[in-house]
Amino acid sequence: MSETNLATDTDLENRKDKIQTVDRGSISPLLASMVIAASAFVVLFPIGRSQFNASMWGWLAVLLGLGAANVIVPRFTLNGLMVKWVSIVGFFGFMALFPIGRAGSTMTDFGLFVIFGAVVAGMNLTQGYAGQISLAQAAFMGIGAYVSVLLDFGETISVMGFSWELPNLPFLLTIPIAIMVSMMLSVLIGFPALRVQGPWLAFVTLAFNLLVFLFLNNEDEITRGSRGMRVLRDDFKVLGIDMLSPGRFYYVGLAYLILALGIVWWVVKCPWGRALKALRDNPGRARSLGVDVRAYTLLAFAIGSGLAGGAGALYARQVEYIEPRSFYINQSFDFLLATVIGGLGTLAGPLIGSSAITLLADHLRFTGGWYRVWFGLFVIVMMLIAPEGIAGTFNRFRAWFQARNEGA
Amino acid sequence: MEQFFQVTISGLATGAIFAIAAVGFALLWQTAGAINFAHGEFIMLPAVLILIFGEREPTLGIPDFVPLIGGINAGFTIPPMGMLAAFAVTIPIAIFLLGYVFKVSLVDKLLQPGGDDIPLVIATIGVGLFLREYVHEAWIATPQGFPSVFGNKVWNPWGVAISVDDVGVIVVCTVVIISLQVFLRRTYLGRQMQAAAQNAETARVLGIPVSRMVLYTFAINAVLVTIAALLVSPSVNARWDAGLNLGLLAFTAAIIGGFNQVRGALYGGLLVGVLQNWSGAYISNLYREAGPLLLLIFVILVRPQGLFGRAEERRI
Amino acid sequence: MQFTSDKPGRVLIKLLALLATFTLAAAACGGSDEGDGDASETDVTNTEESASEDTDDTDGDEDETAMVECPHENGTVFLFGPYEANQPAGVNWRAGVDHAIADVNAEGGILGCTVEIEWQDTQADPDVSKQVVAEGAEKNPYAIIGPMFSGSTIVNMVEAQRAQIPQIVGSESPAITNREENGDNDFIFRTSFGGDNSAPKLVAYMVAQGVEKVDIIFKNDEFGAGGAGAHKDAMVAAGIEIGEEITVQPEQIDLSAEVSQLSNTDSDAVFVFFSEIETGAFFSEVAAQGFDKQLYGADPLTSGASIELATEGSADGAQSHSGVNADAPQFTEWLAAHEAFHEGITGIDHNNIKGYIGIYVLKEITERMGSFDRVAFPENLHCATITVEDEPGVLLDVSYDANGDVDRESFIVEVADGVGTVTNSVPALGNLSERGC
Repeated sequence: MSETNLATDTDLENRKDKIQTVDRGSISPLLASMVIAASAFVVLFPIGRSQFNASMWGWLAVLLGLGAANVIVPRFTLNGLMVKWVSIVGFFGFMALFPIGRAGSTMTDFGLFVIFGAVVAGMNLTQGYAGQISLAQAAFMGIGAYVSVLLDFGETISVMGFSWELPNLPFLLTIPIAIMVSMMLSVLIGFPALRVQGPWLAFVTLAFNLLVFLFLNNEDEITRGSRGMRVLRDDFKVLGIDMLSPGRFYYVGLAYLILALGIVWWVVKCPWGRALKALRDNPGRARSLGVDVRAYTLLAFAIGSGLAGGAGALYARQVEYIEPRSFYINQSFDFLLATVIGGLGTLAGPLIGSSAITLLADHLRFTGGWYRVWFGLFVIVMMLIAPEGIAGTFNRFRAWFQARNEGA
Repeated sequence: MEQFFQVTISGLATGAIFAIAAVGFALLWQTAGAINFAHGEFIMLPAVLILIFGEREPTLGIPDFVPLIGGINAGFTIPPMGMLAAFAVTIPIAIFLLGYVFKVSLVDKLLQPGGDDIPLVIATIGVGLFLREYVHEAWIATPQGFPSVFGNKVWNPWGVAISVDDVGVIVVCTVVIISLQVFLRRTYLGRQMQAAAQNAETARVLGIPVSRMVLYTFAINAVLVTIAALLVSPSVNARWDAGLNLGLLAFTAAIIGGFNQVRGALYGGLLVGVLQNWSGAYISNLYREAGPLLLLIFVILVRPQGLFGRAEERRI
Repeated sequence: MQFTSDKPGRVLIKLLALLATFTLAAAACGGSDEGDGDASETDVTNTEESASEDTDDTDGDEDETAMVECPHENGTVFLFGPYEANQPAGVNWRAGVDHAIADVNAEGGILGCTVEIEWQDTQADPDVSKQVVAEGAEKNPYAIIGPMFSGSTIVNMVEAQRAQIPQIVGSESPAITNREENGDNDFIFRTSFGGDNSAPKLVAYMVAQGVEKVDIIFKNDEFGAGGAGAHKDAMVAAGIEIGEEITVQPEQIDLSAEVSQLSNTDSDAVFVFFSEIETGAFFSEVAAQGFDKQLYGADPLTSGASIELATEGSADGAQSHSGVNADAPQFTEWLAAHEAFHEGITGIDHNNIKGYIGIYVLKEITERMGSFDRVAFPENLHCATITVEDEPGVLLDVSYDANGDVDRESFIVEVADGVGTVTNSVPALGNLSERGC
């Protein structure tokens, strides 16, 4: 759900320009949208062409139809509401029906897509609503992964001479535990970082990510260090259903993604969310109105990190192997990339962003590593012309289009 | 005891390099409000350029960036020119790319006065990613040895092995920092730059061309990172991902020391270098980076302006 | 919230159009397996072949030159090659494999079928490699050739195992053939020693050199920890006393503290298990501190890449055990042929040889089976011996044990004047009976 607020002029002076609230005005929405659409076309066309078949036309028609409907129909009308819900239900319905008849390797790809989508949704909360950059999402994902795997295996770990036998818990139970551990740790590091205004969280999370990596890599006794842990799905059952096939496990990831998006949406809609928006728009004013800025920022950060932790538990089963390298700083940068490309403050944003770093990256692998160079370039260009991300630009375009129509 | 001296001296040498990197980072932050997350890559790029010009035979042209379009090959190669000459050649390149181009294309566009610095931070992360991956694809896929300009001789006074390289680094860094301080304090241009950094509005009123002063700061930063690149690369090798670690340590040094004072960044750098070596030697060499990082978190908790920094007034 | 809607008719029409396209799409969807012709257009040595649905059972025919039905279209046998395109080790592996395939095809292919291979870059990233191998397995290759890196192999070999495709790798980590750790994988085969099987050879040599007490220094990752662990066990079994055990972070360059610590112990020698980067730094530091103990290690210790990263002359005197080494006299002829095949190639090392041998092992065993039976392949290679008379392409007599590990003659390499030279050869262990055969 987008939270576009067309700012009025009087507010512009007082507000800090946060990304998704105010039209940046450096480039018109039309031009920004065209640039993005053009680059998307350039990138996707060669990929689509190699796999083209008749049903592609059908999908293309659907996509264009939905897109047009979303742009043309005013949001805050009954029709608009219908369009919105049809889009959402249609999308998730598509996601649910997608695995039918697909090859295993495609579903492995999509499995990662939904899991990373949840991570990026969490980052969306921290960044979009608390205005803070977190560079430790990968670390929290790693913590969640290791916690979940260790509890699942139920082995004995020894720390500094103390032996501790871990309970052997079912997989589903380890997920909330992973989430809670991540949340607690994030509060621990977020508390000092968010005390003072400024970009401190970015640095603290960067340092934290490295510390977590060092810990995971060096504490062989607990984590098997750099040798990693194999987490095969051979005997793996969720709710009694065997999960060996990637297509089946994809549904678990999809369910988690929907849960994550739901949580983010709920946080935003409920009174907490209002407070978050207030603090994002003008922290000083919010404080003067009695909003406890720090608590809400910390909350947003904690929830975002918790979601990453839960996703980590799923990640471990998805890739069937975890090692500290997977949770290093460059993965955190990737998540930031995804958040920025997708766009903050929307539900579609995390999905677009996650698809960029999973599905798209997979299809672009034939370029060697060059696609990552383009990603970097793309982020820079996007910050210049479309800092709200692809989804945000879409919203801006819609607002502009409808304003034009209204004004006529 | 010898181990202590050994470890401390090489820690001071490493720290001196971090100090130079941190000072550059702090200068950008102070004068332009630009938090440059690509600072590590700003060190890595000159290092790679120096290596390529100094020891390899580069063919000029543009690599095959985009499949189907192909690269451009200018057709002539430049013979290797030795490290110092390469250094001299890289300095103007760095000033242009990392100073002028960076400022004009990104910082000016994205930093609105009174605005939010997050878009710039994200853009610099993008710059960092771009530089890292570009170097990885186009130039250096595996770590490359980087010869030290000071040579490899080692002295052994009192049983402690001190390399010429360590001493050279400390000397050069001291000279650079002192020159910088002298420049900023004693010359007219330097004082103008300080004025522009402290209060841009007033400086403008006084007729100081603030924008140009900021440009000069970026140029100085470019020179500093090139010097840092030349000095640090023998120890860490020229590699495409050197920036991640170097950048993190530069930020750590700047923040711990206090990024709103040049002196603070200097002390921060030395402290980080020595602390890293001490952590490695006396706690566990697997956790050598943990020392500075934990100190970073601690400093942000109790004294965000840094150990030697001035407290900043909060601007609502 | 307002409920104005202007031009309701237009909106309604649009919504109907929407529903119509949905129905259309839903009808078109379902059951079409469009996902994976991820045909990569690049990195293919021969004409690229997307494998047909045919699997591998062919009429058994013992005679090598008889016509056998080839498992893939147009008289070809298709192999899939995941490799690390951005790493010298991966590039060298591929060079060896490409050369071998060309030679095999020139001799008539495997059982008369032309060999083709599709190469895919794993970017030395385990996650990516798993995806790559999963996709590759779905193309129904006869075998998977690669990857090189242990970290990737450990992750992706489960995909080959599930698809029951033999996988021939260049990795050396002990865990890969350890049946407890690899999920009892029948389908994994090495081309050179794993750490646990090369260790006894080096240790035997060290004992012969009179070494009694050794310090161990290694890098803290799969490769380093695995290799060092295997050598430590072998040393203990041979009666050598272990002194200090020092771990170093991967890519750690500042080794002054560690070298200082090592110079103060009373051991005779130091066993070093790093990759090239750390080795280079280690040599430089050792020379700087005037350290004089004998250094022993594995391939990276004496490889050209390490020596290049070290200060001049600092590597001299180090001795390593090498499974295959391009400088050994046994490989001179092959080396010349390889340099001729890949004009202008540099940096040839043991990885080229491994790749070359792997293809010939595949060829010889397939010909012994007389058919392209993927599922039966493991039991035919396990506990088999291939001599140079059987198949000159394997370059040295080699035996395989029941876990996919090799037993073969190997070499001691010593660095002199900045170049690693083969000084000794160590015979095969000949202990297959203890290894499951």
